[in-house]
Order: sequence, then C-alpha cells, then structure tokens
Amino acid sequence: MMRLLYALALGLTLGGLVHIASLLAVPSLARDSAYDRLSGANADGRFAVLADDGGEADALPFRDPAFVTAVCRYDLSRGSVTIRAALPSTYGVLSVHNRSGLPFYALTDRATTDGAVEVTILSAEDVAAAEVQDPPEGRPALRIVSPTPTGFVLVRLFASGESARPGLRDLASKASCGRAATRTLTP
Amino acid sequence: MRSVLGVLVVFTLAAALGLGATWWAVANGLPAAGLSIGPWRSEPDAGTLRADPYERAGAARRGEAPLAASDGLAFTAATDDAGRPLDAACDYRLEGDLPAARLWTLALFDSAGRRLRTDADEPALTSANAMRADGEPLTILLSRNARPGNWAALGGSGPFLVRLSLYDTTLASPLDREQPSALLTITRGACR
Repeated sequence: MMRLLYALALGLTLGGLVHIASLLAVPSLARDSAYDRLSGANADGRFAVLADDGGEADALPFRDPAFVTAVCRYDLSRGSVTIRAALPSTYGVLSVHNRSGLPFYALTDRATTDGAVEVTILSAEDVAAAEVQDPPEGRPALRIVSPTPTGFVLVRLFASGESARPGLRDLASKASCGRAATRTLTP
Repeated sequence: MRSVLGVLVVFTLAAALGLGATWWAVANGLPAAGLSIGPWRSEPDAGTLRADPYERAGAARRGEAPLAASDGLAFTAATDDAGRPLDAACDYRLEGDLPAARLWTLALFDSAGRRLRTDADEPALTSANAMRADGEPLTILLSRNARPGNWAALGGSGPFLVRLSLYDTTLASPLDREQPSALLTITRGACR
C-alpha cells in the first residue's frame, strides 16, 4: 500500500515537471505560429498587404476585418532592420511581434511625426554597437530590441468604409522594412 | 522485475498527466486567467511582456497575433448571457454601453478564427458605421436575414464567435480591470 502511494506521488510530481517543461517548449515547437502562417505572404524584408478575400484573409486567425493589414517578416541575423510607415489619423498602428506572435512594441498614429513613424529593430548583440553610432543630428531614432532573432511587423490601418480601402492598401504597401542605413560618426 | 514494471508505470503516468495537462491548458486556456465580463472573455496580458507561459503557448498554438496593450483589447464571446453556445441558426440581440475607447469593431468568426462568410458588403460593424440613437444604449442585431439598424450578417451553420475589439481604451489598464463595467448583453432570439 505504501509502495503504491509512493509510486502515485512520484508520478504526480514527475507529471508536474513534464507539464512545465512541455508548456515552456510549446512556443518554440508550434508549427503553425503566426510567423509560419505568414510565410506564404511574400513578406520577407518587405511589406505585403494581406488580401481581404480568399485564404489569405484568414492567414492570421481573428484578424480584425475592419483594418487593412500589411505585414513584414524580419530576420536580424544579417543586421538590424528599420521600419518606416505612414499612419493616418483615422487610426493606424505599427506593432512588432516576436517569433511566437506576441507583440512587444506598438506605436499608434498619435506617436507620428510628419504623419509617419520610424523604428529600428535590433538583436540583443547589436545594441552596444548601435549606442556608439548615435546620429549626430536629426530627431532621436527609436530603437527596440527584439527578444527573438526573427519576428514580424504589422501595420494596421483602420478603414472607416469600403471606399477607403484602396487608398489605405496603397498607403500600407508603401511602408518600408529594410536594412538599417549604417550611420557613420562625423568627427 | 516488479520494480522495473513499477518504474514504467510511474513514468507513463507522469508523461500522460503532464502532456495531457499541457494539451488541455493550451487548447482551452486556464479557466481562472484573464478578464471575464459576462460572456465576454479577454486576455489583456497577452499583449504585453507580462504574458504568462500559458498565454504565450496559447498564442503560438492558435497562430494569432494578439493586440498590443497600448493598441487595444479584444473580447471574445462564445456563448449568450444564458450560457448557451452561439449558433448561426439563431438571431441575437446585443445591447449595452461600451467603455471609453477611441474606436470599436465587432466581427464574427468561426471557432478556428476564420471570418464568417456572408453576403454583407461591410466586413465588420465599427464605431464609424454603427448607428446610435440619442439617449439609447447601443443595439446590434445578429441574424441571417437583413434587419433594420445595426445588423451584422450571420453565415454558415453551427457555432460561431463574436469578437469585440476596443482600440485605444483605458480598459487595458490594471486599475480599470479591477472594476470592469458591463459590456454588451447577448440575448438569443428566434432560432430557425
């Protein structure tokens, strides 16, 4: 009897450990995360506007249909990436998501200067180098550190009516997502 | 021989319990976590760096890109006020007042997060196209057939989800979460 209870207690404890370990491994093992789902959108290193009909409309589950959504997948292994997007004052938002889809940074149209926002995404290793290369003039650059080497950026613009969509799709596709321009120190 | 068998049994039990608990929690979410207002449920922390491992795993599994906390807060309802699952064969009446937000949208999805296919021109009801009578609460009708006023078309058959997204709202702040105001009530009408 004691032996059985002991085995049961051992099984429960080990089960708890298995639960914790497998739960922490789910984000890295999930085959169908938002990043993977966007692989068909041809959005590596450039912004692609997601279609509102057909299968691509459902590429991201629960995507708000009232918004025009453009997506860019980034990979920081070859250096930092600079995002520049125009956000109209009808409501626009730029959000940066990690590999498993969770957002870690967002800017709405309230944060724009001249109607646009600009953000540089760095990997943890590049931060120190970037601190040295501060721009000598101009407005301060927004820099954020990505918790994962890959991830994606969404630019979502609110469409107040169907007639506003073509213009917003055009605006969203003009957002840029490329290698950061290397700044040199001027003496 | 008996001890080897015992070890095997214990290991099998541990694996089944641990993986089973993970599978269930990731598929259904923890019942106590998040914010519940009537039939509406939300996970405000999924949009922040405070997301717990359950929310992280759930987001990765669903393939969803949640709203950032500074962007907005999305509520999902799978049942009406009486706890019955939402069914596309029925009419529903949503009524009430919404918390302060710059913008709200209401969209219908199937349980996998795909949009409900309908014949309606507008893909979502929003604060920009909804009608609001003076002094009256906001009323939205969900039905397969056209209705006067704010109407969201139902399509397909079987269960569906209603997602109410509030953008630029203070409801995401911990202070407001302590005393959430009521969201829209969901009342079932006739079923066909």
